[in-house]
Amino acid sequence: MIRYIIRRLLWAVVLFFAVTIVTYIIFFVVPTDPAFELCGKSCAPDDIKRVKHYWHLDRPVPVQYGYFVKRLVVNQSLGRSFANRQDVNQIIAQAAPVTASLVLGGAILWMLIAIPLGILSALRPRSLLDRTSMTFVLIGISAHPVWIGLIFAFLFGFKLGWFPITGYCDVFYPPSGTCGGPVQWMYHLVLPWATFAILFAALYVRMIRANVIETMNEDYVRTARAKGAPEHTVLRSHILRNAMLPVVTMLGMDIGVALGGAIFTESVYALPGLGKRTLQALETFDLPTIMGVVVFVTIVIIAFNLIVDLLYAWIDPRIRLA
Amino acid sequence: MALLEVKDLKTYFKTDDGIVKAVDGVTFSVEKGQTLGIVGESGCGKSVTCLTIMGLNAKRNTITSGEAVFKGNYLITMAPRQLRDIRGNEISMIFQDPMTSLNPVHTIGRQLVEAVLIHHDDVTKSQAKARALELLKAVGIPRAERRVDDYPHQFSGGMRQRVMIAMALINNPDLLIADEPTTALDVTTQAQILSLMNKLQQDFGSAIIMITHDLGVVAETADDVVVMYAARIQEEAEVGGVFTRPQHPYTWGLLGSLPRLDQNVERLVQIPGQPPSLLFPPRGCRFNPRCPYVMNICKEVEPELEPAPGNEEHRSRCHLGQDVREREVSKLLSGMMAEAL
Repeated sequence: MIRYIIRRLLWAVVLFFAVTIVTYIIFFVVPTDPAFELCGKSCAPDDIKRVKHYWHLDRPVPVQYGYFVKRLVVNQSLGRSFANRQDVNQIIAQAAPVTASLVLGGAILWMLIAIPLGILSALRPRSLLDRTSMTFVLIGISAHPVWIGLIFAFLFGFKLGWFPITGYCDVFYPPSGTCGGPVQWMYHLVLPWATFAILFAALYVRMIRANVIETMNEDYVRTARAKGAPEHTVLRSHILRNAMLPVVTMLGMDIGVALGGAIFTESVYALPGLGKRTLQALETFDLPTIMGVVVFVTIVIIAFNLIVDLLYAWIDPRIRLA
Repeated sequence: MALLEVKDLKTYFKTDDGIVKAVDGVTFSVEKGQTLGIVGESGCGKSVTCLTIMGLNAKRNTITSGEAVFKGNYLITMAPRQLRDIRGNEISMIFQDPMTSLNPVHTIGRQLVEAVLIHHDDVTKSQAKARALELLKAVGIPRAERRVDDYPHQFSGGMRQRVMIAMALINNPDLLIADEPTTALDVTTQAQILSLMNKLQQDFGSAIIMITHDLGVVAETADDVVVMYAARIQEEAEVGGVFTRPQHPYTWGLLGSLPRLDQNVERLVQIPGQPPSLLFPPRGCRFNPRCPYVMNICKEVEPELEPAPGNEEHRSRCHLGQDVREREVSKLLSGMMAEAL
């Protein structure tokens, strides 16, 4: 077990280098001069040169990458933003809780929708409920989150006025003069959560339904019935216990995908999360911020995958990590 | 009164292609403590017959009629709740594939204990566990005290089938239905499982319905035999009768296709053709398209199950004259006797 974790962590280091190197290369392949963008329109060539030197942009790319790694390893620092010299660690620390609120809340919401709907559809295939939920699935998968977000904002925010259209409220320590606290936090996140959850809820309804239907036909379910087990025991202890195993794996992997999906939702509702920050950074060629987000998200995904693998070994007796 | 009396049992499945008559009017009975062998090819309806008795067919798309009376209970028309009380308690079942018949995420012990607790509210968990251990020992699981907390994947196929047998017998059932219990096992394990079942039948006194396509299994275990073909019973007799005076050409085909130790043949004898589609069973005798003795009447009229001369209990469904049958049987048996000698 310990050996397995150590091996996984070593792989994580390799993965980390691969991801950051690729990001660096992509950034420098883009045919533009970051220093020119940073300095502004009225800069003289000398000024640009100074800016270049200040950010080490006049050094070869591998050396720059070396600086980046050294800073990260020695100082645990992601550097300062090209755009406004803000500490990137701080940018991430401010943006991550917003994205975490969105993604984790969204994940809870999509599971709350997907588990009952998936199971009920599987138990009554071809029923009205099943057909309705499959229609929902089709819409959820086909419609783009940006479109759903705008429709929700228009309908529930603007027309009906039930929920705020934009903005984020800190749950614990709101800056003075802004909204805050759990209620405001949730109130502002209802629409983003709903928007964010629909795509994944749709995917998960379909997956859970398929898993449950498949498991219902397993021989051991027939064995359970042959024992005289009542239907609710058969469902809970024999069907769901097995059908939910792959869902755990999927959930762990999809949290990573979801971080990417958060970009759309954050843009629509103007949430100051990682996705929005990344978009801003891309527009201003702010390499340190982009790298910061990449590093942070990579670590989160690696951590989630590790947790899921350990969790899986715990809930499925057939899996032993070695 | 027999322990189980099945009368004119019919199980039809509604499919997109039409109605599949998987079991079409089957009648037999099982006496207390006796073993009934049901023999036939894959798809002849032998498993469906037993699943119907147990009420384990999917409700959807299934039409069932006829009677199955077990100790005065009408199993087919019973409320599901009451049927559940009988299932796993008074009638239990062993399935064909032990590799998939146990739940992979629960320990063996838990699955055995579950079988006890479902039917006994007054039994504590530790009593149930003790009973589970007792049964695991009875079916010959070595180091049962330790293995009771193992998961199914930690057992071999033969050991899993022993666990299934333990689970089936744990509530002392009056009737045990074994649906090809040895088909998925290798030959040496097959023999162990069969002798185990014979021994346990003596210890527990359960009646057994042994479903199989293997006449060797029937010879070893059964008291009475039912030969099924295309959803119908074609011949029924006590076990000796089937092997010494078989009456139906299909039974001859089954006996003739047994591998022989005394002859070196390239190819085993086979019954030509395929089992008929149960969507559109053949007119007349259902075996007529494959029968080497087919006559005109066979294609028009389905014969009744009629007793053999001098033996009311030995019945078969065939138009052939008694003289032809006797001639063919003696030919067939002389070949088999040669092997025995």
